[in-house]
Amino acid sequence: MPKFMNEHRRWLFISLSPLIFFLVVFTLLPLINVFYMSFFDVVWKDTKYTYTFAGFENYAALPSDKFFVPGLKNTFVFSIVGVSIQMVLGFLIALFVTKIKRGKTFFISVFLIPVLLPPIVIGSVWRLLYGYDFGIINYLLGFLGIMPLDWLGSHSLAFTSIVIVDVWHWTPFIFLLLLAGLESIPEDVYEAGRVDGVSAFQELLYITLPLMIPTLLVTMIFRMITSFKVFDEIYLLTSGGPGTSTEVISFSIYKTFFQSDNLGLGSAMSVVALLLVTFLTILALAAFRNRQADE
Amino acid sequence: MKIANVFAPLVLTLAIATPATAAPQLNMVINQSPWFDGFSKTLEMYEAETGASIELDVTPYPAMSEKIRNSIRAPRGIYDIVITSTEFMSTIYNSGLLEDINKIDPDYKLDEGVCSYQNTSHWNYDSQSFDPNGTFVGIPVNGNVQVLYYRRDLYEEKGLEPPKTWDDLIKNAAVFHNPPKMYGMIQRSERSSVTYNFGPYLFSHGGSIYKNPVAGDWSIMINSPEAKAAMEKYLELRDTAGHPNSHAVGQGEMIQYLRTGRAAHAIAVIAAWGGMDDPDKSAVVGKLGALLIPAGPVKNSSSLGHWEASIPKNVPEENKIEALNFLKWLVTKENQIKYIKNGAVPVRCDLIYSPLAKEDQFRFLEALGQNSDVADFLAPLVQAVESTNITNLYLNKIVSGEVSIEEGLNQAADDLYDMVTKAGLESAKLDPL
Repeated sequence: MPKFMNEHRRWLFISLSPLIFFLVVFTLLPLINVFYMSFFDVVWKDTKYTYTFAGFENYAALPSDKFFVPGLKNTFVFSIVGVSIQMVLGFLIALFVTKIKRGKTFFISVFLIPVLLPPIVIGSVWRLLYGYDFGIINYLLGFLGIMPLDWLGSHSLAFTSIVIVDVWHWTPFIFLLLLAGLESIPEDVYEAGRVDGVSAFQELLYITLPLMIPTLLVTMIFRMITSFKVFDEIYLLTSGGPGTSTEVISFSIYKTFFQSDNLGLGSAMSVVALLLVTFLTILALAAFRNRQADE
Repeated sequence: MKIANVFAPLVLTLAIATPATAAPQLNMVINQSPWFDGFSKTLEMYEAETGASIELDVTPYPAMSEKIRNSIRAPRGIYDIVITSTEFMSTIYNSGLLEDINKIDPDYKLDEGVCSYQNTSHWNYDSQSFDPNGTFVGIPVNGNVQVLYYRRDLYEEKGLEPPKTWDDLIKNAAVFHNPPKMYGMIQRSERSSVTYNFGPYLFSHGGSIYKNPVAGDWSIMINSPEAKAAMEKYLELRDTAGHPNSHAVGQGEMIQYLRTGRAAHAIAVIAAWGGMDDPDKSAVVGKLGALLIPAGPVKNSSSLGHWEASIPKNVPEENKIEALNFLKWLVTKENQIKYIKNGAVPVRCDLIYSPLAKEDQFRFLEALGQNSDVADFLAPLVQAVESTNITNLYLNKIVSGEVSIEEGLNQAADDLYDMVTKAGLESAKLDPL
């Protein structure tokens, strides 16, 4: 190997080493620790943690856990339904904003407000909106002669209410990413299409969408991962209830790991959640690569 | 010029300016709550009076137990005083990391005027339960218990007598029940708090979650006929004069109903009293009263929700002494009167006999003392958080109609039994309902 290549590699290693150090210390080691703890019954005793090997006991307890199983199911449904709606809405809004000639900055600023709000404010605002007797939504429904709805207390409605909040909260984020993608499509591609006499719908179907696929996929993957970690909206609005209607995996982990101080079981829950997110990500990335290979 | 020449006079000046006996700066973790302002004002009085200095780390409730755990487990604790609520008190006590108060001051004991709160100042490490003969590890700092709030103005208007029993309450609540303008009774049955709200019904019917914790008998009693009768009464009240969606009502909503004048009764914590007479926050200033929670067939009861302050082992000895000095000062009768006037919840049951209790502004004191005397501890075990998570889930399912009373209580009993046996506690189960 030529000498300059060795020097190049050495320089690469030196320049990347701080990043590698932080990744190892703050990401890899904690992950290994969580994985390790998941095979133990960890108890604080006689002024120190005592680890008793439990094999797969913590994992075996998960299928019968009264919070974890409904939490897992709800998280999947929440992510798939919520992110799908957000993708469609975010894309439509981004399309709308690219088409307008005046006031674009104003619209972008307005659409971005929900994503800028701190979660605690979002929780308070929506709790006030959803209130049974004091809520603005039921107040407005009253004008239409509709009986008040129990937005956060009904088994059939509470989950939908949380999805609505999540869509409201995160659609602007998707809109922003997709807007950046749309604006990066070269104008001459559209001009060529117009010369060929394509309609607006054909333009969307045959030019915009194919060129946006990489952006759409990356956005969707990123949002799916963050959606899987939902916690604040649940904590602030329903605490997982009624029953387990709005229980999600992060909330189950929080209760087990932090509140109950059950580190072994909480770690097992975390590992399963991590594996699922990783699996979803790999799946989506594989689809992305296949698509690129086809092209 | 040498650096030493510059710093030497500075060091000398500082040495002269700092008294050799200056009290150490203490740190205390405390939760953000309606009674915090009252506590903070009283602390300022203490600091002005003694020259001591206590820095407060004001923390939202959900982060309290984690912060305390981290501090007391560290080689050198951040906090010289930690406060624990009934939800995680036993877990923190049992860690063995809190100092025996009698090691700091062998002669100190709480005087009889301080409420005992089911002996929660003392912990028995062998039986893992609160025990008057156990180690002295806590001093109460907030006497939060549930009381019955009622609209005394409406009672006077209708000529009604305050309810003595649950049936009286159902009858009286029905008189005012005119939803959605006015609910006869607001129950707080949201998943995160239903066990706490259900407590007085359960204990007053002779029920409990565990049979006899002090004796080390952790047999599960949540599916006893008494517990079933208590839940039937809870739902009867809801169906006759309560909120149809009580399973979604939390503490915030309950207080909102009271303050807006849309609730004739509610069983709520006394810490919520502060805003009820504040014209900026309440539409019912001077109209609410507080009572002893009605009796069931067996007794009167309330649920403990108080806070105890403890001194960790992993802080310097002089800090421990200073911390105890403050706590001793706080629970004296004289200073508890200041405490009440500042808006905090006192911890002395003898204050109901003080002239203060006759003043309209402090009309809640009698009910506070009465309810403190009869308040029971729902889950006095090390696994309290997990226990409450289980009962919250199934009680919420029952109230929301997802499962029947029998089904919910039996499932709760099964899960509680699994939990306590896994923890190695002596337990047994009743036959399913």
